[in-house]
Amino acid sequence: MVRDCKTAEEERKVVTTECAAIRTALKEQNQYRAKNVAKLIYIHMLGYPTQFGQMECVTLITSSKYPEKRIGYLALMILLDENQEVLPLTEHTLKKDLDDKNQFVQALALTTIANIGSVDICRDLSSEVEKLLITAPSYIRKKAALAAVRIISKCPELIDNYIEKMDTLLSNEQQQRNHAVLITSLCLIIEIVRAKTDDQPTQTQDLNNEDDKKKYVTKRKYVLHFRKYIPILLKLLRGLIMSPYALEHDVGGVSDPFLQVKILRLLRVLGKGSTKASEAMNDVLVQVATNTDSPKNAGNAVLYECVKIIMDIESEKGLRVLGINQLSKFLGSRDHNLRYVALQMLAKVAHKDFHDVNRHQKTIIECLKDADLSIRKRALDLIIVLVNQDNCKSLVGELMTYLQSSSNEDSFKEQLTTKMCTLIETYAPDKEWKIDTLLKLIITSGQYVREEIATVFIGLITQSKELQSRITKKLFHTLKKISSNQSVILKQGVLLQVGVWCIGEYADLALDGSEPDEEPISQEQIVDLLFELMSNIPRESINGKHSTTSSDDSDSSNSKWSTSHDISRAFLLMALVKLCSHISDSNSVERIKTFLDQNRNVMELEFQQRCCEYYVLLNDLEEEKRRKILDRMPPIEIQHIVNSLANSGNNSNQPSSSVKSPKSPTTTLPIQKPKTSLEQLISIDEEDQPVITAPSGNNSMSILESFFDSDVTDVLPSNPISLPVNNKSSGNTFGEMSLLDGLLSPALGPVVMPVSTPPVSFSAPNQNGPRKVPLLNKNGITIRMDCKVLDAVNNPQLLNAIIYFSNSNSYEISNIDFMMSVPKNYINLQMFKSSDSKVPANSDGKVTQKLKLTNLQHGVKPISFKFKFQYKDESSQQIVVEEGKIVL
Amino acid sequence: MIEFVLLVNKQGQTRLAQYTNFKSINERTSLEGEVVRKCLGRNEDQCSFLEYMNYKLIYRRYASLFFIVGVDNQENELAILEFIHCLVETFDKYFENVCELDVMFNLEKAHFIVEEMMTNGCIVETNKQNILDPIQKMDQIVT
Repeated sequence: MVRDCKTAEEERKVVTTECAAIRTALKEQNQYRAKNVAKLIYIHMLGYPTQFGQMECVTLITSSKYPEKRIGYLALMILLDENQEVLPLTEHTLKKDLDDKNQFVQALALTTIANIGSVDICRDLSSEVEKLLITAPSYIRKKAALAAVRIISKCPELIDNYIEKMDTLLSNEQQQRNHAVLITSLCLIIEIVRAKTDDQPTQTQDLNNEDDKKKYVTKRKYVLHFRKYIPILLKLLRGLIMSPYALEHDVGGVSDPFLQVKILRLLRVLGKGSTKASEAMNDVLVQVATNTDSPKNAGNAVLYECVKIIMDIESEKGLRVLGINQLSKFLGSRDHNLRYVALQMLAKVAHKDFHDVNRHQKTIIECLKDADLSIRKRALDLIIVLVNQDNCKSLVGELMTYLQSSSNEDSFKEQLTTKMCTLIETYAPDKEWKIDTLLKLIITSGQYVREEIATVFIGLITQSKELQSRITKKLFHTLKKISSNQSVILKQGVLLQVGVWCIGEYADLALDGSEPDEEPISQEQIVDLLFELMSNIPRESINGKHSTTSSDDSDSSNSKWSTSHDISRAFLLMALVKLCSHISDSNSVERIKTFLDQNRNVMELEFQQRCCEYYVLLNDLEEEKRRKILDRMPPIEIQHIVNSLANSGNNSNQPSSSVKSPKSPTTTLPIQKPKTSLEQLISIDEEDQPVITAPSGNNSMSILESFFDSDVTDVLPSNPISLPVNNKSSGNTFGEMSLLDGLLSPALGPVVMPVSTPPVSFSAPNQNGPRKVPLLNKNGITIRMDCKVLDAVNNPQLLNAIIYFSNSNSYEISNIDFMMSVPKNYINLQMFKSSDSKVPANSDGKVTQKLKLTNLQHGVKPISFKFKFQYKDESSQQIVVEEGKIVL
Repeated sequence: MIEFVLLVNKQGQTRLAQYTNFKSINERTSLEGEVVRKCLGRNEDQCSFLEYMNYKLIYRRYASLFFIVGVDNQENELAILEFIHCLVETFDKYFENVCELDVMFNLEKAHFIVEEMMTNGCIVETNKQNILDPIQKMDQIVT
């Protein structure tokens, strides 16, 4: 009929020609119409449009020749769906054919209704279908039953008409002879009892509730109605099991497994929630379970369905055990399909029959090693359900062995790792085990571990004094092994962060080398390691331009990596600084200081600032204060992190930003005690800028520690860099800043001071009202930018901004020129002229300039820009240039 | 509820496709592409069930032909597997040693058979003689 084509191109060509030929042929009305339509079916299957043939189908079904009619109906069912306009045209023919004397013609019409009947057709032809359902020969009745299924799903109001027909069927043995009629009628009953509840999803909430309630009541009514037929159904079922060999319906030695499955399915629906109904089924179910031989698939299908019903209805304990044992038989089978369904089923019932399922733990763990991913996934799901506090150690141990040995594909490992983290979090019996296991997990598959785990891990370490030394040593050796391999380091962000953090904190403990059989670690080794790591992490992006080393990653992962690189470098720097207080080797200390000095003018703002601050800290601060600042971290409370992890743990694909919602910033601050009035005062602030948490002097925490700490908690991928400049969207930012400066300066003033151009960072964009961003405040000149997203719903990318120039000096400035540059690859800038070229003396925001920023990567990357402001100072007649960089 | 029945050869070409709910051409081609890719990549050591989107795929291989059935999560997987076998046996009985070309050149007949066995996602008839009766009668009319 239609031929093979080698290439898709060739195929397209042939199909196009053929379509054209058919089109012409259809117009000519010759005797090959049926053949042409059959060709259309084939072309449709190949995936080409065939709409032009639809009218022909309608013509064909009116044909008096059966073969033509047959093809016409077939094409109708395949080419049309119920929304097509031609469908109503067929209704008349359908009605005529339902009354036809030929049963095959009747059957065709019924099948068509069953497959594509629209609401209108269903309603109009329902009475004909009802008639045929009872009186006609079995060939017609089975088709009518399925047409009825369609009708009641389309027009639920007609259900009652069919109930009575089913009553007749179920109470009359004569009617039950034909298996096909039975199986389709059971379909119809199941459909009735299931009575769709999701017909009107568009309704409002309240209506829905009432509606649902009503539907529930009717549904119950039908269930109750059909429950009285349970004995009949059971009799049918028993008849099937006990019946002698019947060639007609035998499949692999089992008498009509399809019908058995269907009956069991209906019984399941009827028995659910009723002890009495369930009790009635008990004996027969035992019979099914024991009398069905299962060398072949057909028998197993029945057994499987039987177990399904046992688990679903209110069965006795003994029956359930029987069911689970049956499943364990499946589990031990060599048939992959059986193992699959067994695992799937066990996972469903595990919470209810925990101990019975748990007895088969060993077999289940075996399935984790199966060659088939489908089975492994099912086994994993099941094991997750089985883990509790008692067996956590052994089960997670099994998973770990499996993770280490397997060469599975990434997606599965990732899934496994995430789930293991959750398990360890939830069920770990003791802290030492928890830390050890987490560490093992991080080392084994660090690239799949979510960043929050680093936080949890660090928190745990701070709480466990006795383990700090050992863990640090282990981390040191692990890092040492990978330190020269850049590609590994870049993947192992979490391991790196955790390791570096511990080395920074506990280097002195690791140096002690309490265990004699270990090779002692020298101070130089530690410093060497950190520097080697530092040099192996690519320098980071400015304005979203990424370093070349990670350019082979796809774009989306790029931003994630670069973020984690930034964080890793910050971790390293902090560790180096902390080391200075832990080690005595003056060469190493000098080396660190030199490094800081050299990096005080690198192009990365974040890194530069840290270097500046740390440099001052190490060089200019008094000994005692420095010691306090660099002292060990107090134990970190991690409960809230765990909670947020558990909340987001179910969806590993969610961006980690969901962990920290901007609305509850105070909960993400790990340092909760002691609460000073300052903290309480500022904890209502929208942003958890680290500066806030630094109480002055009277405990061991310092601004730098809390600053550093923010790296641990700060997991916002879009904007990981929180700088110690607090910007609240309140307008008097500068007032606040100076307030904080004042408060902090006795101890830490110099640390904050050396920042030349105050960089600005926002972690929580405020959607309401304009956001006020200070750009510059120097020599009496203040520049502020008010930005607003006008249409957050439809066009969140577009940011409108007005820049206000203020001059508090007693002289005016002139020839002002404000320039901006943005990363061209994702931000469009449109700038208008400023309202004046002079800013008068003592004026506040009188001169403005408008601009529009479009962030093409909204939600992925923040808006960032550099600006340059040039003006002429009228008192000194000098040209002054100011510059800055802003990340919104 | 059976959502679709697919018959695909080893090269991934669809030879028969019947859907319970109408799908647009784009939906169909992308679904078939994905499904075929998933099924063809599997070997003998793996089970016959797969999860894809909201469907559970149940497939069975006969020589160079794959029979793939997509169902919702209510169905008994093993029973569907048996149904596939029944379908193949019926094909075999009708075409006498069915092969890919038989289905290709008699696509409408193959559709008739599937239709007799499954309508609107429900299994109708599994007795081979009952399935084939109306089709053979029609053949008699034609000849």
